[in-house]
Amino acid sequence: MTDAHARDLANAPVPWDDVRHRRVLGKIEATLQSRRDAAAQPSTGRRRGLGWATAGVGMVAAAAAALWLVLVPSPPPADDIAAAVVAPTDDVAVAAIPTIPYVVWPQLRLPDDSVAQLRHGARVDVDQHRDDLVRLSQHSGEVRYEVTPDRSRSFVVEAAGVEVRVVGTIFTVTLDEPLERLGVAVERGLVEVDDGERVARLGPGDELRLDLSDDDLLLLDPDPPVPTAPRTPRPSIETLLANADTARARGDLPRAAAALSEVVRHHPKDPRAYSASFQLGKVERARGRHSAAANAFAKCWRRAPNGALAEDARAEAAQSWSAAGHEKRARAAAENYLERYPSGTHRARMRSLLGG
Amino acid sequence: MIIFHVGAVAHSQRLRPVVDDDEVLVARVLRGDPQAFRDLYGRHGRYVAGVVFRLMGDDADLEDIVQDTFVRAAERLASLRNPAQVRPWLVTIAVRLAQSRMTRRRRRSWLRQQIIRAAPTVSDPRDRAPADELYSALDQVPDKLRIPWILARVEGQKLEDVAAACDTSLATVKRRIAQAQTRLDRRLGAGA
Repeated sequence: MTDAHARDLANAPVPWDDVRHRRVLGKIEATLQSRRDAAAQPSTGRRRGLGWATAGVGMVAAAAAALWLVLVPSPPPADDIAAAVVAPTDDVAVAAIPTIPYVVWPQLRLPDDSVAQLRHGARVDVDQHRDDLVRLSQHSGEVRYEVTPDRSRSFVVEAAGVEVRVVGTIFTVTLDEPLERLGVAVERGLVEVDDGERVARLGPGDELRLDLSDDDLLLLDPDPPVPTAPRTPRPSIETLLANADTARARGDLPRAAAALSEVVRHHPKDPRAYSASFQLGKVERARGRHSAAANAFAKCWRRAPNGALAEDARAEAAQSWSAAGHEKRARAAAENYLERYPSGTHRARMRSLLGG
Repeated sequence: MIIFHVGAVAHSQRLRPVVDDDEVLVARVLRGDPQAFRDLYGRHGRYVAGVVFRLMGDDADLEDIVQDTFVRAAERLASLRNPAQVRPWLVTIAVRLAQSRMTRRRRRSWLRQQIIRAAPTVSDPRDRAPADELYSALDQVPDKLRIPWILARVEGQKLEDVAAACDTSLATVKRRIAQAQTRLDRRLGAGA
């Protein structure tokens, strides 16, 4: 009799669903962060816990207040706020909306009703918002995107030079700059992650990690579905290059970057993709997106290590890594340059990057 | 959990499995990787919640105990001697927290009545009756006997792990499980 009861009890359902699972994780992280913050106070002078690089976890009021303050055309000071959004148009609304009990994250609501939930230390720019394209840049932190399904427009999130493309889905992008890691976790729908050289398609429950320091892609899933994304006709390389030239002439750098990025990604075997990578690096740098610029320059010299643009691309990559604050990468790139081109035209700049 | 390495070229992908075990996860957490902690929680959170739910007999304190378990774990992970044994270690923390809650509950009889009325939360009425009956019987068993019995007989844990979770010797835990069994058989009617 007791055995039967024990079996019944062991088989009884546990009231622990995904919502509860995530809610408790949010509470755990908020508790740990508040303890870390308390421990970091000068009066105590001690540190404990995991030493994570996330900023502003659980600091809901501060994050929400910061969000209200950043609806201006210029980028906010990154170090001062936990979460920030820079919107190029007036039709993007930002509001602190409670999503789950106990932890309230600020939300960015786009005109098509897609929502970006700005979590730990999130910084997001809305680069483009058109009927056929929504393009966001995630500079740091964790953001959960809930994208309204619409096959007539592309929804693209760019983080550290990696593109995440979706049609309609819920997914989270985590960019941990200090640890040089990018994570994409899909809850619903299909997502395509493209680092310019490789593409991974993720389905519900899939999780992908990109180690930005060694170009390693990791897909976390015990039984990953490999869905086939619907193919749509892509513009020709001639059209894309013409679009890029027109956009640059007009000073529309986001559109120029989007067109050049398409060239590099979708026409990698065309010889013109080589110079397009270099152009993309220059455009991204002009936009102040130095990590993306460095990735584009690196892609250029890797494609043809002895090519006509290789020396310049190596130097520009090093310079861009430095501008992006990636000192380790900048030094490594500068050392590579000097090793390969000891009498190169950029040697003085590279030495200065090394502090020499 | 299995990790698949994607060594893909443009628009194609190739997967090969790589094992990322608890030892690797713990090492990554200790290096300050927040995602590793989330992975650790993702891997063991549900299991710990199941153990706590069955120990407590209801979900009134379930979230709090799971939360406290992982907060303590995060803060004390460096003290874990064998990272491969992280799950039993988490259960040990959860058991102690659950025990503390039980003690508090027992001191307050009105809350105890509330627990009996509320326990357990299950979706199917056909499941509810035997679970209610068992919890009514378990409620009359002291915590020091009840906890090892649930861990061993319901959770199916190894006796060594039960002893560690209850912070007692193997011999003692065997004796307590036997005592709990005798009391439960008496109340529920052994062999009936």
